[in-house]
Amino acid sequence: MTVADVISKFRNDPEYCRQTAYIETITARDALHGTLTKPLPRPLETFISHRGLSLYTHQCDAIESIRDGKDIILTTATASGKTLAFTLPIIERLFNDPNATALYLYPTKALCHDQLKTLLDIERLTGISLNPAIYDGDTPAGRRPLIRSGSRIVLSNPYELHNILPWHHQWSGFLKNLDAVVIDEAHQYRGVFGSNMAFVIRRLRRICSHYGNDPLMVLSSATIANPEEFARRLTGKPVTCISSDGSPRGTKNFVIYNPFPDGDMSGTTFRESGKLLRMCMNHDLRMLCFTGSRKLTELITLQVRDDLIRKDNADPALVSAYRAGYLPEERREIEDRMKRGLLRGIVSTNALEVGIDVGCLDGVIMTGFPGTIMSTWQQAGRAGRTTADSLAILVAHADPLDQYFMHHPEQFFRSHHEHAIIDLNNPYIISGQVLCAAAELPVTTGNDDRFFGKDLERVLSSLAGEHLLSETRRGYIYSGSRRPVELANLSAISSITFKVMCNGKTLETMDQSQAFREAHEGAILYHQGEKYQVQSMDFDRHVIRVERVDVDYYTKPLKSTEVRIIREEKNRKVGNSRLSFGEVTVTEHCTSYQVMLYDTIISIEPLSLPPVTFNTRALWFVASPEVYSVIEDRGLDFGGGLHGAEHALIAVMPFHVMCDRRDIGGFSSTAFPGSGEPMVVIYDGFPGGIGLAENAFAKFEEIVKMTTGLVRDCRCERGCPSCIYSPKCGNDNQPLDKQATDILLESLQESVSVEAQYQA
Amino acid sequence: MISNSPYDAVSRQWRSKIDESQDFRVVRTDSVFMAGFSRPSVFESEYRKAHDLKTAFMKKHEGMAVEEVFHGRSIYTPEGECFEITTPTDIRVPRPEPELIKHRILEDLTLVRGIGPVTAAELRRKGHRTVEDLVIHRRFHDGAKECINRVLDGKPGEIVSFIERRHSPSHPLAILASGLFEHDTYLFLDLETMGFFSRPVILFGIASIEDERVVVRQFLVRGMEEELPALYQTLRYLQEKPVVVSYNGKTFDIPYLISRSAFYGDMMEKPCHHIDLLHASRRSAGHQLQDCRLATIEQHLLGTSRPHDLPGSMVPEFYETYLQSGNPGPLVPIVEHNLEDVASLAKLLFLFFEGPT
Repeated sequence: MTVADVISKFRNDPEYCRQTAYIETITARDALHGTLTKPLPRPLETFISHRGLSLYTHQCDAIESIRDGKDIILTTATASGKTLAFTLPIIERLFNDPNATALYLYPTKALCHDQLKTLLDIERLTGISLNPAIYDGDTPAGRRPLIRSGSRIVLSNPYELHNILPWHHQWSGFLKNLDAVVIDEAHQYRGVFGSNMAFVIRRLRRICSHYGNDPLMVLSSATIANPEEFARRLTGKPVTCISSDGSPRGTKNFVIYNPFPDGDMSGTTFRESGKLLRMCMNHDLRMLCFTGSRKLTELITLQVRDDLIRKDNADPALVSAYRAGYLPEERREIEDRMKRGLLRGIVSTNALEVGIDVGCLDGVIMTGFPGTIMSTWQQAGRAGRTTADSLAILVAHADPLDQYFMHHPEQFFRSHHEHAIIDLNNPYIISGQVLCAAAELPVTTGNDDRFFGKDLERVLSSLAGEHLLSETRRGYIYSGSRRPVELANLSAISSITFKVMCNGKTLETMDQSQAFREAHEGAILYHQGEKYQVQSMDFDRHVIRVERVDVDYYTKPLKSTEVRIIREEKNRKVGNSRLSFGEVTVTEHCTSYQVMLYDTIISIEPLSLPPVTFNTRALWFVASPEVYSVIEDRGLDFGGGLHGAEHALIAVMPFHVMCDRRDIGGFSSTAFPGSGEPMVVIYDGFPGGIGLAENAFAKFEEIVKMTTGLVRDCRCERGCPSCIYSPKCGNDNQPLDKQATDILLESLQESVSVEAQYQA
Repeated sequence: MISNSPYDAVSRQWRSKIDESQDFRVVRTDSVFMAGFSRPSVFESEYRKAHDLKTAFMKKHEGMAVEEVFHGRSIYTPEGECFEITTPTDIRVPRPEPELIKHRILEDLTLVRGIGPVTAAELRRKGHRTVEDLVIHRRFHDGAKECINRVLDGKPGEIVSFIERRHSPSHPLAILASGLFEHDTYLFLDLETMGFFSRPVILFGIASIEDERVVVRQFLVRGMEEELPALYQTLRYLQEKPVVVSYNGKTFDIPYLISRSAFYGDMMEKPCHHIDLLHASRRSAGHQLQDCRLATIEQHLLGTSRPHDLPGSMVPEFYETYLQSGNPGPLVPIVEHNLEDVASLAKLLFLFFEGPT
């Protein structure tokens, strides 16, 4: 059976066609081959012909640019042969200069392993000595010196690079001869993580420059709106973009699928996703199903396995879960089974989005809008790595943003790829990175402002004021007592990793914030479809002990959030309200959790977890007294209006300021702590802020307009997951009032008197 | 300074992050069962005592300058000024006879190629007491002659390397053989730092033998700008005196000096000879002790104890208090702790010269 059979089901089968909101057919494209000005070294030419390859135009462009010593960013489609496009010319350079070395950076350890195999293959087939090796947190101490002195291509990740830069003297030979730095999956380095990464790369470049070297920067990325600007910000160098894709493509069918047609809320996204996965698998398609969370990954796997046994009398082992947190061996095994065809379906968190090779896929299911257009295409691109027809299905969540696309599918396909934001002016990030740099080599204003910007002098003197840096003849040096690379984490995620142990064996690992969220005492955890209950959480040793259980219920933590305003930085008038932007303190606290059976709360249990506090930037507005009286006069719930507006605004914001919904937090209250005023606050979920609220402050009218449209267009009567309900609400979506929300949003648009308008 | 800079708030935040966390863990109620994880641990009672100590010294030296507390002098180097505290000790320096040492080395039959512990025991049983007895042995005469030549004619460094290769660097015989070096080539070394690597050294403690006396020199970093001159000064001693004696220096002190040199843009070579007493001490006493800290070994092997010693892992916290307050009080226990450590190195080495314990 073929993709076409499945497509006809979406078009005609009553079981699926009601939910099928839209099908887009993306037509096939032929290959465009190019030629090189001069041939590659013989071993590489032999390798290419041995593989039966013929270079595409963009591969030739990349080779010529790297030969010319140009820094590049490659943004062609998934599976267009990007790795080969930059690896061939880099190996050519390593072939011509026997001392030259290269550093390959990947956002995850798993990707390093995949690429190592490719490089080992090239080395074996060309006979060019490269000794490629992975150098990361898992590399045994005994192997490290050998890699540093003997490997010509080292594969690593940003976290490891961040940690080894202070040890540059051990790498002096490698760094002196470092010819090229490859930054693959570069679009991953956006937002907070990317801004930190930009400075890690500057630290690397500063150290290379100390050893008299200036390596080439070679970036590869998913399609983004601003490749040149992004690459320049990430590397600090002008970068040439290579984007015209010469690779061939089969026909792609993109299905937009809504489990909640006409406001019918009886379905659930994950059940529909599982059902579609099974249907495609039963049509002999090799499928990948993406989900937004670990828990969903496990739940869908569990459901599909169950149904394979009960409904299809098939082998449940045809489907497997795959996600971060699994031990490396377990992941390798799953990848291998998929490649060998022993698996027909994998359910995965976005770990697989970033190019891990599981062989050819026929189709991809996305459980919910992945948050960005760029990720959507990246995930959709995982299917159809050949010229054959392929399938991509986007299964909507009930949440407002997904529903908006369901009602306006054509807008989804017209949407531009997002801008990848890198903030080089975030004082928290600069300051932390300068601390790290000052522990690597002394920092001087004359020499180093080219890496850290014009504010360097202020940063240095401020840090010196706290005795974190000291001024010496050679420049500023780090003089604190903690390792600076530990102080300045690369992402907001804490570097503390908890081990989940069952009967003395490590089941998986998770970072601290995830552990607080999902693995508190009493919580039910899923692992490969099995259920475990958390027995204890050891904060000192970072161990979570679990036991296998067989229960039907699951758990859901209740988070309380408190926000305090520290200072207002700017404000302006929107509609009848004053919109402000400034610094706030957020305290998040999980105080209890719910025990749930299906959608029913069985009980609420108390928790004693320490609160998490951080300072960040936020926008906020105070509802005007007129709005208050309009809402109250109509017997509506004012608090429900504020809360609804908060949710709906947060739901729409990612579309305007490129972030994930999880990157933003919100808080609303009829009597805000401190001022006693009715307020809505929307803040960046990262210490110090990352420009999201600031950006939204500037685009507020646009955001409010889209939000109002969303709430009004929704066919529900009293609010629903498609408009003002939030899937991540800490107060369980209470109180909420749709009409009050509408009135409140209206008041933010028109500066005419709301009272007058509603009296009319 | 520029006021209201957005960086000031951030700097304060880093500061409090450092102050809130420690690089070591405090073991509550002194439970030995809780100790011994990867992070260095300090017993709660020690931690409390150390804090009382800090408070007491701060009270005592309030308002004083470093120079008023320590009897030292300024040294001027091409890299700038640094502060040296010189303390002569009354440690007795033994004078092992080279002939006697060589004789004792040659008592070890396993130094001969092809002889292992079993064969050696067999040979001894048959009356071969030294390597010299084997020069007429049917099977081992060639090996014995080679071994004798190496030990009798070799330079001290060559003899030590020969033994290290046959056995291991921590073998008692290798330590004993290092007694062949000229006394004035020893450099006892112990650093006090702001943590485990990528942070400054705040006190360079070295000792050498001058006129048959052990003299300790400490380069105390009064402000971070003095780390480089103090490092420079230490490296000069290291060049003049090529036999380094340390406690865990192969893993810590020497790599630390190399990385600090690299930090300032210079390459430093490893010393030619390095006697690391940690391994030798562990070999001779480690199994009887709960840890192998120098103070513990010292108490066991030398019978001395330090009632007011500062746990080494608390040095950074004390130094930070000095940096922030300007009060030299917290430096006093650091300097004393280091002085005792350096002196102990000499005492321990000399103890090993006397033979197996």
